[in-house]
Amino acid sequence: MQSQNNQYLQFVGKPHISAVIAGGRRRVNYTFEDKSELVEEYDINNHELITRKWKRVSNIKESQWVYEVGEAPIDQQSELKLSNTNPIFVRKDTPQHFQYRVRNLTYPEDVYQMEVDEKTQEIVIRTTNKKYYKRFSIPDMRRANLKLEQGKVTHVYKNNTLIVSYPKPDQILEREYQIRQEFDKFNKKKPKEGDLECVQQ
Amino acid sequence: MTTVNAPKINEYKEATRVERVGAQSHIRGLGLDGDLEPRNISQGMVGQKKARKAAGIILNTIRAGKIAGRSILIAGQPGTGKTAIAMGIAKALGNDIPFTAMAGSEIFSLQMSKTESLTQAFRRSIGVRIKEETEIVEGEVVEIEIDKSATSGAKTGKITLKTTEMETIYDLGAKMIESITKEKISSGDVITIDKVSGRISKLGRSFAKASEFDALGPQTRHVQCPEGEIEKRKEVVHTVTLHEIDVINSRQKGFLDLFSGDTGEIDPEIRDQIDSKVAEWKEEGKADIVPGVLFIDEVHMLDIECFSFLNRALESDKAPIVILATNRGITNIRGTNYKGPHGLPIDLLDRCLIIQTEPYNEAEIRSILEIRCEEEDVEMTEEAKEVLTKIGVDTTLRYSIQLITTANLVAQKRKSNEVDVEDVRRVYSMFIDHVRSTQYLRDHQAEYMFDEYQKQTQKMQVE
Repeated sequence: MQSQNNQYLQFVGKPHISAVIAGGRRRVNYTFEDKSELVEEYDINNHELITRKWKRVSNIKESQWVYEVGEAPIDQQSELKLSNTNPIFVRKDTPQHFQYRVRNLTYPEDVYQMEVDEKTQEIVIRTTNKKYYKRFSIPDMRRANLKLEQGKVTHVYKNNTLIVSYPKPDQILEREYQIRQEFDKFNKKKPKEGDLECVQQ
Repeated sequence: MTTVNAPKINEYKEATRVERVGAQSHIRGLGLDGDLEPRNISQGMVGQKKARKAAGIILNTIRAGKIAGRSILIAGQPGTGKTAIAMGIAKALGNDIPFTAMAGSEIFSLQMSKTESLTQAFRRSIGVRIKEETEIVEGEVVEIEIDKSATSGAKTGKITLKTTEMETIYDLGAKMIESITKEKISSGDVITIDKVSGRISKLGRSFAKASEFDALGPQTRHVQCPEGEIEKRKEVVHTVTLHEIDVINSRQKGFLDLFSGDTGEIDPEIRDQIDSKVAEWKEEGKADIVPGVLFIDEVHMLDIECFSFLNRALESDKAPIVILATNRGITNIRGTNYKGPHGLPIDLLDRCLIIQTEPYNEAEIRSILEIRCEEEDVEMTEEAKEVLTKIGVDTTLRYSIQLITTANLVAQKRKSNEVDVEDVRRVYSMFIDHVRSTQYLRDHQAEYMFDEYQKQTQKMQVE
């Protein structure tokens, strides 16, 4: 279940942050005042963001993880699940771009249309044959209060996969650089599986 | 026994999902008109006008939702429609207002104390109406494919949904397949599926399919094919009960416990927390408290501790409307050495409005039997109905109702579609009612085991 455009993916107050090495990745846990959580997983070596998931606490029903980056594990027991013939939408950034991949798209290249809906601050993927449609926002941009600009969205289609890219603005590149510096410092201590690290932000 | 026809019958049953018919399943409401006047025969209810009119007034009190903690006692002889009236109120209230029905004896559980049982019952009857964002799947059905595995008999299926912009295929689990078959969803229907609860709602039929020759029901609406994405987050108004919120918050796996039914005792501290949180939500306008109805049948089975608890609980401003029912007269109040009217202490009775139900007359019994015949899908000749009515008058209403399906089976055995007098006579002789049973026992007492009379005579012989 990918991210949707609302307050679900916003920081609420100052979070308590801790980091641990788990499963060969650096996992950063943020715990907020209202008990909701954010978990990010970075590759240990190149500090690439592999997963980011959120959990809001609800009093009236079971809370579930919402994946902003990375793929949620498929619930095999679910009564209603997407057939594996459907296109799969995943976000996986590159150092310079926010990148979204849609796998399993078998329609010809000229069918895909991309645009920015400035009113809702979303990127829209359309198909002229009316087979696939997706609206999504970039939560990182929202959180930094930056606007999406028409014309900056680019796309490439190959190997039955549509790759949509949006360049990261300087502000975000700065912040990511800082995070990488921080992680490099941790790496100097040669961390092993299970190590806890102190994070200040 | 013709086995050739058997497979066909099974298929037919699966397609229309025949459900088991319960004793009160023919009740659809209280059968009142706009002015709260009871129609003689309506919505499954017959006669009993005074009681139904009173119930109608209670119904409006509940709907207005402004007055909490009223209690009503429905009292009358066995077989006079007490449970039926409670059912009528429940059906008339609809799905939005929580209605909890229980029998007095259910309080006595090994897993929790009486007061805990009662508290849970109360909290199950208070609803909280919250607006929530849920994930839904909304689209027009393009096609549904359901396959049955030859080896395991398990059903698998796929459904293709579309909007004006896209199409998606979903794999279906067994429960989803059941719901789809039950709701008779087909290509061209526009549906919404709540991903979390699994509930399916049919919004109508797509305009695009309107030109086809379908046998449409009178309530079919035509709607536009939905736009945009198939998977959306929508705000849905949700009614949960306080008890459900208690359980979810009382432990880690609380949510799953709701289904297994094993909730055990809940910490009163948690309840206090929930109460203050719900009050907060109410202040913020996020939620509404909906007091519902708690129906306790056979209330004479509760004991004096429960009654004291009830007295106190009724005084809370969040208490639901409590409807009690009993068929006892002046009886022992359990847990004491005293007798009281209906087996209840006077201070509880004082808090109740009492509705009395009376035994039915012959014409009413006849109407009820006719309604039950229809409900149980049984055809009966006029003469058979006459005889059955007479039986109902001479014995009891319930006994004659039970003869309906049994007589039908006897009629089918002699290959007739209609029940006739001979069938009724046959089952009357096969199954005896309690009056005849008592008479029989009086006459043949000596032949039964552990008979007091027998022991006395034996004793006398020995001496």
